[in-house]
Amino acid sequence: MSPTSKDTPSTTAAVQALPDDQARGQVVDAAREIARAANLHITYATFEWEWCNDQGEPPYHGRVDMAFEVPAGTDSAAMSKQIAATAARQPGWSPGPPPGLKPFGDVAHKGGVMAIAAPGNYPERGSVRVFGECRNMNDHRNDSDVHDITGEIQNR
Amino acid sequence: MPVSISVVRATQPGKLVDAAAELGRKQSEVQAIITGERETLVQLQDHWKGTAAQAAIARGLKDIAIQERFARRLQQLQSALQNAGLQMGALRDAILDLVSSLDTMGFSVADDGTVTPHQWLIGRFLHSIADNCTALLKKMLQLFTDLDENTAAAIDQADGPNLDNPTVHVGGQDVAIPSTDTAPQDVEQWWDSLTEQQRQELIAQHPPILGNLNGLPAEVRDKVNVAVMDDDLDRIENAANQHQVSVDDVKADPGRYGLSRDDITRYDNAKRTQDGLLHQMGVDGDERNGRRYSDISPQERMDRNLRPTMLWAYEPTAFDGKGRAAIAIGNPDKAANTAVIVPGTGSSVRDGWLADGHNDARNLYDESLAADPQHPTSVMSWMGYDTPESFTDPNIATPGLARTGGDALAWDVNSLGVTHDPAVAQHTTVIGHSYGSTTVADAFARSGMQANDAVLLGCPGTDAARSAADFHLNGGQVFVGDASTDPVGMLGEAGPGLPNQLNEQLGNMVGSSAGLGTDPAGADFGSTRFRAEVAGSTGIDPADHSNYYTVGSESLRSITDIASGHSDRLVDDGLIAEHRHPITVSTPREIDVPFVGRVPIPGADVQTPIIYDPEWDRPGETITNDHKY
Repeated sequence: MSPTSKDTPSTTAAVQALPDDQARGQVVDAAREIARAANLHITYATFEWEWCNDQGEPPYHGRVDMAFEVPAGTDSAAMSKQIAATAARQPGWSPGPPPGLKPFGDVAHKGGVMAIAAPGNYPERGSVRVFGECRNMNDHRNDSDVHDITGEIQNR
Repeated sequence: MPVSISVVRATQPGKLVDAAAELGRKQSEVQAIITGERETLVQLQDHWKGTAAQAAIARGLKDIAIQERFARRLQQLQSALQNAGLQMGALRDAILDLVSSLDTMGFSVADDGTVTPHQWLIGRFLHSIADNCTALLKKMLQLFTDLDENTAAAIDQADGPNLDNPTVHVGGQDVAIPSTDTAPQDVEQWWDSLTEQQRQELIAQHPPILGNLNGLPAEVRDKVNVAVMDDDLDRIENAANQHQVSVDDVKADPGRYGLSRDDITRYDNAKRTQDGLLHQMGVDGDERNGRRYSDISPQERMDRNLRPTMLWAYEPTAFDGKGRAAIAIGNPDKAANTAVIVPGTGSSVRDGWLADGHNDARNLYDESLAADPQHPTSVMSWMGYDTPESFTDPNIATPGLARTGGDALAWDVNSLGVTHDPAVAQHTTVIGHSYGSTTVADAFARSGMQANDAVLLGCPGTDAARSAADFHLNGGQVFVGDASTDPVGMLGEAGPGLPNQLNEQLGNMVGSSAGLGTDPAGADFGSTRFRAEVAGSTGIDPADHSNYYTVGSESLRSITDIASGHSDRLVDDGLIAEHRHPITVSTPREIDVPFVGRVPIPGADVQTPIIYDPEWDRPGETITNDHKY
């Protein structure tokens, strides 16, 4: 058997919970910032509470999915790289994922918020997914609907 | 009406298990005969040519197909009996243990499960204990009754004279639809034998059986299933509109509107399935209430970058109303890579697994798209078996449901090979989580499932599979993801006594007795273990049983590599983990003797029952530096 507690002093500091508005704000603000900086034409954007475990127990995190238009003649893979590079140049942002994480796609992060740009499901569309920190402790077990926030992102 | 305690006491579930074993022997005999016949036919094909030979061989093949259907019936019956025996046995023990404990503590228990304190026990709080125990005992008696009824239904179904195969009039002819236990190859042949007009008319008529017929193309199944789902929604909503009442009014008293309880079950599970389709494609929840999935046009799908979902299976009344459905993102017949996700305890259509916020299938599909935008993996959420209800359901400690589920899983997965586009190479990965990983192991080891790779996540044990060789993967591998802090993943290996003790400390999260077989993360199993540690975890935590599909985790990265046919990248990406192994204590090989010096002695390596997990000691910063993204 393994021991019953783990000696990792750097990771044991208690993480402060994020209330709903802040957990939502950190991903929606990040999504708007990227859309503005990369000058994206957003065709659809949604916010949702995603579970951080399969049992649907706290914590939860906010998540934004954005669809953007890939102009005719543009390669969506190249465009994704450009979006991630642009995001990484914004104040407080860095290239790549937060330490220890290994997602596919073109990635930038701002503290614990991670944005992944990638080609979409159709050649004419690309996607940016923004994941917040697993720090929201309110009960969102039965609140996993996605919510249309296209207007909120477009009016950046 | 629930059965009484004396009835429970008089039952002998062990006899069902014995009968199942006897049937299992018969089934093996039939299977051996079939194998012999096949070999004879192969020899005939090699040495006997000509028209007469072809006719004789075709007749022989048809006879074998009939015998195989019979063998499959025997296997279904055997599964039904064995499943019932194990489940009812576990529940019987739990009920009688509770009655005996209550008796020892000074309570009397009536035959209907009512608990009262003996007169010599004084104290008001005892009544509340008695009330709680009464509620628990009555719930267990009800569960026993339900199990009994379900078993009877399962045996009837396996033993029945014929499965449902209606005749429909299409293209000016009566056409008999094959029964659902027809071999997928034969279904494909039947479909190909129809005229284009007959096919289109059949799709337009959408008899429900058609959408679940293995051997039909996924595109056909999708069209039929969505139409049937719409019918199930229309039936209730039209009645409400006609009578100018709410849907809730109709649901509360369906008989008043000419409908049955069955119609309500169909409606509720149609809603859950539609929610699943909309959630997985990415449509706003507020819109879900006002519009149908079937109204979303290809143009809107493109414009909003919605995921390409399909309804591959849909049986809303299956499993006593828990429902059966499978949603694919991406067409499994056209994709070079297909992943089938098999969930564990507490998952069902009725309970919302297809639309819940775990996002297992969405995240795997999106990652595969980001990894290879030209060739995303088709990802199927397979809610195709009856799972244990919850972590307190005694079924969780028995492999009965995993074995029955394994039969169903193998039947579905094997059909994917029949309908796949022959012009595209095919690679299929079957991924099970928790109890679902036991189901996957059983499907490979007991039910002849054929797929390229297996992925077992947080596995409580592999039941019938004792090692990777039992998966018969033909070149593929058994991959295992087990966080060192996931308590369920430890249950298989730790040996008798220890897992139960651990399980008890965790509030019996895997049932009253733990462990479903061998631990596939163990050194001798023959698996490939990939890294699946949980970001920021600080100790054994039941929540770490379920972080395997988190975007950015090393686990989802590994699963994506495997499912997209690039498991060779695990090494380059540094994602291979060491296996768990027993700790060995070595005695000294030499001793220091005064005035003589060091003298060699025969040493020994003694294996202890303690299991060591090398992943436990990885530095925290190599996993992540916090609980956050």
